[in-house]
Amino acid sequence: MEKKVMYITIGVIAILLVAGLGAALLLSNNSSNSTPNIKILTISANTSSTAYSPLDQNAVLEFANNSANGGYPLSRYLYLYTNGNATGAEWTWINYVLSTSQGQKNASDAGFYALPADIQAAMKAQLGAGPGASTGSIVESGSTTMLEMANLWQASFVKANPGITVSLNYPGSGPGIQNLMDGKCDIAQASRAMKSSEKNNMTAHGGWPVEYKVAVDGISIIVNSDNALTTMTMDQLKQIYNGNYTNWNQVGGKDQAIVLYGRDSASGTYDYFNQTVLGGKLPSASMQQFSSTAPIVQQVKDNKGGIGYVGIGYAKEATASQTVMEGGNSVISQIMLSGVKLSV
Amino acid sequence: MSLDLVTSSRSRFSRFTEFLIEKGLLVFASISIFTLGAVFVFLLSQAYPFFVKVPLLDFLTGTVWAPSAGFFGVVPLFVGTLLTSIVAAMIAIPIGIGCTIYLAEVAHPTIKKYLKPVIELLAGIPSIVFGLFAMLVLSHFVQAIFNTGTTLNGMVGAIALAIMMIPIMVSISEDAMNSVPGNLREASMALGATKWETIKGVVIPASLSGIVAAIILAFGRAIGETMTVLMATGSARQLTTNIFSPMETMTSAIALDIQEVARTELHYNALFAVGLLLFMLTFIINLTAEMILKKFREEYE
Repeated sequence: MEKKVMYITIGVIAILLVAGLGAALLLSNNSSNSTPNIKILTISANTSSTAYSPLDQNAVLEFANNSANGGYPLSRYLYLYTNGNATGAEWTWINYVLSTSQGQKNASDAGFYALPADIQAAMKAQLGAGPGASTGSIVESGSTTMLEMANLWQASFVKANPGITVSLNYPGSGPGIQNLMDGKCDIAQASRAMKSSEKNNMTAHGGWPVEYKVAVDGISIIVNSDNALTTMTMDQLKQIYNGNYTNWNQVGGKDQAIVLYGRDSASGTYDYFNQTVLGGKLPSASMQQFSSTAPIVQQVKDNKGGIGYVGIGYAKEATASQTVMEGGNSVISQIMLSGVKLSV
Repeated sequence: MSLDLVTSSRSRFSRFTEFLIEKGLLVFASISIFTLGAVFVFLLSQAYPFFVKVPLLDFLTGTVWAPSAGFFGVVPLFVGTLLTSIVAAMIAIPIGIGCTIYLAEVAHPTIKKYLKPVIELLAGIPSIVFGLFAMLVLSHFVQAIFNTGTTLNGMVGAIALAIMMIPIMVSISEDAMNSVPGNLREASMALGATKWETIKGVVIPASLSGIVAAIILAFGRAIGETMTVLMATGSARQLTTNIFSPMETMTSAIALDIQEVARTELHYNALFAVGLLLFMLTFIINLTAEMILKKFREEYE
């Protein structure tokens, strides 16, 4: 009997010790993670141009409209593609997406920028007069960058058009375009333009891709807030992501190994980044690849030497919660606090 | 002669039912063999278009895996798989064998009664749960203890794999240890050996082939594990021998890429080629374990 009691006591003490140790480590990790976070870098096209932030709407729209004007070098359009002219429920949906007070407002709630007026008018003209429909079903497939925005569209669209069912899935821009070609979805959402090979492939199979620009994104380069850098040139970004620079002190930061985070090859953001920053080459093999944006933000928060590229919506959300906690008074936090619930 | 009794009508009926049952069971057995063959043929057929276009040597010795750009070298993935599994085995073997010795030889029967189900419970935890645990909790511990550069790296995957390997190792090698005849132990004690000397000098050598088979089987499980390593190792397709850097295994490469490839792409066939390599690797490992186990079973018959 004595031995049994002894064993039981030892067992209970051991379990309590392990639980206590685990809880202590977890709590210390959590508290140290709530203060350092991420910050968004300003990017300049080269050493002699001005550095712009993706939070600067004018700079983002400037570059997206015409890169010769300067502006934020990592701006891009976000797209929806249909097979043939949009009719019926598809027409109602795209009409909703392009409308200033509804779809475009959802886009800016998600952190992106609404289309400039002239592009919006051109898209509406391409959409045509309809007719739309009040019943039907739409399957939309594609980009994970557009995930939050698409969810916002769906939530309010379905309220206004209860006869139409909308289902969304996010395998990435590439697979989304492939689904459109295969007929597995009605609309593809993509964070990059359709490649000419994809367009040729689609017409060869009897399809006809129609492209709609629906929002403007500025890809944000995020680093851990422990990092001293606040700005970077496009060339430095290229050298970091192709593995030529491996330590932050090579670009003016502290002595810390660079840890690369990025998307995987299904992602339109990955394609866009490789095209624009790396000149069509592949990133370094040491870059950790993720199939969606949220883990990139989390990893950059957790790793002092981390750097990642994300859509502006995610970066804004991550830095806004910091600013709110620090009691800051930035414009961003006011936009975020205006009562919009974002689903991640 | 008893043959006269056998040819009565009742016996004929029961002979027929016997025949049906036997053949029915044979059909079920053949279904399993057939499925194995079908899987192999399916893998081969889908991987064949890849081997036609890309030379086998390029595939097996290439050091860059970037299929979207045309690089199909499987070495980074293969090294990733082997490295995580070997380090996991290095962690799991001492713990597993120690646990087995404790359960088989040292533990009080009441403790054994409670401890064994707990260890088997560990085997029943879904691998995705381990993956979540590794990604969200274990990675921070590992970073704090080893001061690694990244939170997600091969070490986190190896530790999670080790935890999954232990229950398999324990159950198989415990069977091996328990089947060492009692008179061997008693003879050793009679010669004046202490309990530990008996274990070290008699029980372990006698059950060694069973222990080795258990290790090999657990290793095979670690090599084939997908969800845990997918979430824990960081998905960087680089060729590295540093366990503390992010890497990718063959299994997680297949799981991640298959969601995005079209059936007509070479990338699709390349994934089947990797699957074929994985299939053959685990097949060889399991076959080796079977041969060793068979040898161990025969020793006491």
